[in-house]
Amino acid sequence: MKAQINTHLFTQTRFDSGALAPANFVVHPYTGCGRYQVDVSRHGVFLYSCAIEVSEIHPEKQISIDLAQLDAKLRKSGQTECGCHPDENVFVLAENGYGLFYASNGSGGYSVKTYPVDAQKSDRAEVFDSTALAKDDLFGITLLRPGDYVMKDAKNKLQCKIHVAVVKPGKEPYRPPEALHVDAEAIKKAGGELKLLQAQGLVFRCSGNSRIVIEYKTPTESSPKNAGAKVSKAKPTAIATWKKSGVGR
Amino acid sequence: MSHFTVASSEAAVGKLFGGIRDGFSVDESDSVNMGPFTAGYEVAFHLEGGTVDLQNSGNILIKELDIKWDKLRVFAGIDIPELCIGGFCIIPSPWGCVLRAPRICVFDDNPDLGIDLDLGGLLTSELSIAAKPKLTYFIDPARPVGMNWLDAEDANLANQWRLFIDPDWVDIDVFDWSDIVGDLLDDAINTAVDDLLWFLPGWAKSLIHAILGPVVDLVRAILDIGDDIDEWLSNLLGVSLGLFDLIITLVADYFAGKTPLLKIEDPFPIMPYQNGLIPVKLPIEKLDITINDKEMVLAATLGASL
Repeated sequence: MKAQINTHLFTQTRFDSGALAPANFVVHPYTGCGRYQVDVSRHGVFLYSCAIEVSEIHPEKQISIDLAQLDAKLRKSGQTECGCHPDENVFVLAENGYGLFYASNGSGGYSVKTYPVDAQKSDRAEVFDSTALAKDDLFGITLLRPGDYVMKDAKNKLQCKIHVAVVKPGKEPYRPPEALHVDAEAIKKAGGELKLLQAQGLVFRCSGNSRIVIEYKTPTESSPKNAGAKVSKAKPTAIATWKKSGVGR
Repeated sequence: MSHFTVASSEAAVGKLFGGIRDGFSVDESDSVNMGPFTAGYEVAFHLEGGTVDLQNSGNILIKELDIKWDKLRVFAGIDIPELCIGGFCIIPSPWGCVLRAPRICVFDDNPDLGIDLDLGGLLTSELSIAAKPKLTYFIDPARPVGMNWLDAEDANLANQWRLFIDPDWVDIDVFDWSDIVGDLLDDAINTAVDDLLWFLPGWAKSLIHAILGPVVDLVRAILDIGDDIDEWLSNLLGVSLGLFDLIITLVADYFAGKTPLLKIEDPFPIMPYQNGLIPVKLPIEKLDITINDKEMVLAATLGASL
């Protein structure tokens, strides 16, 4: 089996809460019970709908919906709907649970809107829109490329610099530190600059009507070369012997 | 009492042995699934050198018979571990993580890492053989029943006495792997990883190396290579892949039954076709062999009829 590398992970330079791609995600808390329609678009073009049923009887505190995987699955089957049949494939979630939307592969560009199914079309209450994140919605990202980024929330006039430092290959496997959790207030306190290590998570808690865009600006430190371990020299000798049965030497 | 006796000195027997030794060559490959990894070899070798020592016990001892590796490739294929990012806890609670980020994996599946070691010329190994002479009588299976000796001669289907050296035991000694084998392995591992990630930018390769940890150590751990790579290679080839047993078997079979040291036509030609007369040949009814530390002696008893 040849390696199939998710190359988009390494080529992205722009991350947008309204255009989800590998390595970023949005989270919305579902506080009210009921069935929610999930409309998924890509680059602004509607792709398919799903459903989430939120009920106090469901134990799941989190559902993670891979928009890219569903897209591929539905495209393969020629469907434009999934999870809408009452008895099959409905995403279920506990009351006050979290819906997490992400794209595991591909070039991304996904946005998602969810709203109660029973709302009138004319006054549909869009409880969640990844292009305009509401208060307490979360936008998360894992930045891999070292260098300087700029994070902007144009609607809230928020801007900050993110510095991602190089991780050098060491004697032990690298495990990224805990994710950094920030909101507008924390960013101000940090002087408008956040510092991360490669592959360290960043979670931004929105204050309302947010669309977070993070753009790569400049590289900083160069990547080091990986140094292989030295092998100690060993001694001979292996001997194999075949002897006819009953024969001595 | 025998009618004819022929003696060969130890040196002459050595020359006879050299003749059949040079006809021996092997080109084999095999692989085996060893759980965490697969391993295999491609080998080709021939034999050179070797000293023949005739002994009073009747044995023929062949020592310092070098295995010359024309090809000695060892390969191993492993799945490198899953390499994913994300998966961190977003909302922790005293009862565990309430909300967790998705894990995004760098590879679609566990990728194969193929490690290819060209060890030709890096292994010094030799064979020792202790054998007894073995005489057999050969009737060509192509010779029709009832064909007389004259027609058989014309058809090149004459019977033969054949002398084999029949091994009692065969030793293979793997004396030494070259000092550079360890470095070769490390280079092969790094090359395999570079080949896997060739299209990624340097920073991405570096990050993958960082997450995997020292990849040489990782691969060595998966392959279960301890401190002694010589021992690992010898065990892999000799025990796991059974290469040394294969070599011993092939060598033993070759000398014991496939290629005789000597062939003696029966009836034995004394005079060829001449002046319209049929050839003169003597039937060998019985052939005996004795060996002492000076020479190998063949004693033939002639039969009454052809």
